[in-house]
Amino acid sequence: MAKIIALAGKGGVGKTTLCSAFVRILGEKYPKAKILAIDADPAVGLSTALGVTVNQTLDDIRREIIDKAASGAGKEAVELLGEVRFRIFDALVETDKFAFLAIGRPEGAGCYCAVNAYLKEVIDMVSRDFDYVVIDGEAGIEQINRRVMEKVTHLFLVTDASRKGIKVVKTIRKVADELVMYEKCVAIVNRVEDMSIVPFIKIEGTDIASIIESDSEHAHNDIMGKTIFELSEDAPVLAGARKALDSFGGCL
Amino acid sequence: MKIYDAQIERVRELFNGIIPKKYEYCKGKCREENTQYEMIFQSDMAYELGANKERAVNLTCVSSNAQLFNDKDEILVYGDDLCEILDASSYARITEVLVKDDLGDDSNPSNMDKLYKIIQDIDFVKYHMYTKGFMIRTSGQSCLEQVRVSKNALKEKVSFEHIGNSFIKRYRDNPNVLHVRIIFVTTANVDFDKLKKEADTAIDIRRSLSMIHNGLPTECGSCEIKDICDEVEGLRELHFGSKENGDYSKKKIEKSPITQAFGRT
Repeated sequence: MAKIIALAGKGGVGKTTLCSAFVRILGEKYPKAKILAIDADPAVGLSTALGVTVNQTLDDIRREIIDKAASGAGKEAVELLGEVRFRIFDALVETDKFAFLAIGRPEGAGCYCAVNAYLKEVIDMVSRDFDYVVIDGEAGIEQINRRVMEKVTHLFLVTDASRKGIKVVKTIRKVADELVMYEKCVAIVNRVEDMSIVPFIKIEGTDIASIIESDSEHAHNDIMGKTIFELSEDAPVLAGARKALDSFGGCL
Repeated sequence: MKIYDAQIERVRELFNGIIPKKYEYCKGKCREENTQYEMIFQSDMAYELGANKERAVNLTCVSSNAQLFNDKDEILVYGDDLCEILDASSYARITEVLVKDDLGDDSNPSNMDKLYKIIQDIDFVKYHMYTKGFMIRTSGQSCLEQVRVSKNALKEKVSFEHIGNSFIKRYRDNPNVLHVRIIFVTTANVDFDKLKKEADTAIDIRRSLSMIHNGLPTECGSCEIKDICDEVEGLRELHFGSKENGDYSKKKIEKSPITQAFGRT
C-alpha cells in the first residue's frame, strides 16, 4: 500500500520546493522505492524544481479520451479505464530516481472540476504501483473540498509565518478532518525571515513538525535554473523537510 | 456469426509465405499471473514492444464458422520470440476466436444483444491480463497494444508460448468460446499498415454493434460507419430473418457482407 503524501496550503509558501525536497529525501533514504511525484498545482512548478520535461499532462489525455469516446469509440467503463492505463504512460515521465505526472492546465477559462475528478481516479489507480506518491497540491482548499486528496495518508499543511497563511492551514485542517482519510497530519512553517518570532508561532490543533528559515541557497539555486538535486545536503529547506518527514517516525 | 469472417481471411493472407513457430495450447505452460495490474517501470524493463516509433496493432476477430479453425487451440509466432528480441520492436497480437453457433432462439432478434455481449466479453479479456513481467498497455480506442517485458521475465525465459497459453486459458473460461488462435507478430515483414486497417475495421464493427445494441439515435445519412451498421443490420436479417416479413428463418450467406461492403476479396 502506497504512502500518499500531500502538501497543501496558501499560495507562495513553498509547497513546491518542499514537495521536491520530499522526493529527493525519500529517494535517497529508500533507493529501491518506487516514488511518484504528482504536480497537482495548475501553476505547474514541480517539474522545474525536479528538472523534468513534461510533454503531456493528465488534462491532455483526459480530453483526448473523452473526445474519442464521444465519437463512439470505447466508452464502456472498462474501456475507459483501459484507455487511462494506456495513456497514463504518455503523461508519465520516468527517471531513474522517480516518476512524474502533471495534472496540467485546462485550456481557456472554466472550472477545474473535471480534471480534479480525473486526478482523484488516477491517484487511486496508480498509487497501487508505487511505494510513495508525493502530491504538490493546488493552493487553497479546492482539492481537499473536492475530495481529490481523499486517499492521502500523510498530509503536510504548509504555511509561512503570516497570520493569513496560518489561517488557511487551520481552514484546510478543519475540512481535511472530514474529507481526507489521513493517518497523520502536521504543519510546516516555511520561509521564516526572522527566527526570533518562532516562539510566537502557534497553529491550534495541529502539531508543527518543522520550522524552516528563509533559504537563500535555495533561492540562488532556483534563480540559476538548478534543480533540488543540486542543492547542498545541509541547505535549510532540505534539513527542514527531513525533520518534517522524520516527525512521522518509522511510518514513512 | 460471420461478421468477421472476411476479415479473418484477409488477415491470414497478410502472412502468406511467412513461416511461423506454432504451439498447441497447453494449460500447464501458462505464464504466472499477478492478481492485479503490474506496472513495469523503465528501470525494470528489458524492452518495449510496439511503443514509441515502433508499430503496434491489436485485433480480435470472432466467428462461428468452424471451417476457419483447426480443431485445436494454437499459438503462432511470426518473428523473434521474447528471449530472442534484444531491443524495441514492432508488435501485433491478433486473436481469432471460434464461438458456438447457437445464439439461442433464432426467432428472437434480441439475440443481437447476446452476440454483442459475447464479442465484448471476448474483447475485454485484454484488459484483465496481468501476466507476470509482461505488462500489456492496450487501447481499444486506437486498436493498439504495447508491451513492456521485464528483465526478470527474460531471466525466467518467458516466451510467447507462455503468454499465448495464458491468453487462451482466459478466453476459454468463456463458455461460448470453442477455439482460439492467437498470433504474435514481431517481424517487420508483415504489412502493419494493412493490419492496422483491419483493426480499424474491427473497431468500426464494434461501434456499429454498440450503436445497434444501445439503440443510440443516429443521423445515419451523415454517420461515417453507416456502411458497417447496414452490414451488421443486414447480417441480423440474414442470421435471424426478417421481422417485417414474419420470416425468422436463418438464411445462408453466400458471400461475406464485409467483402461486399468494402469490395475486398
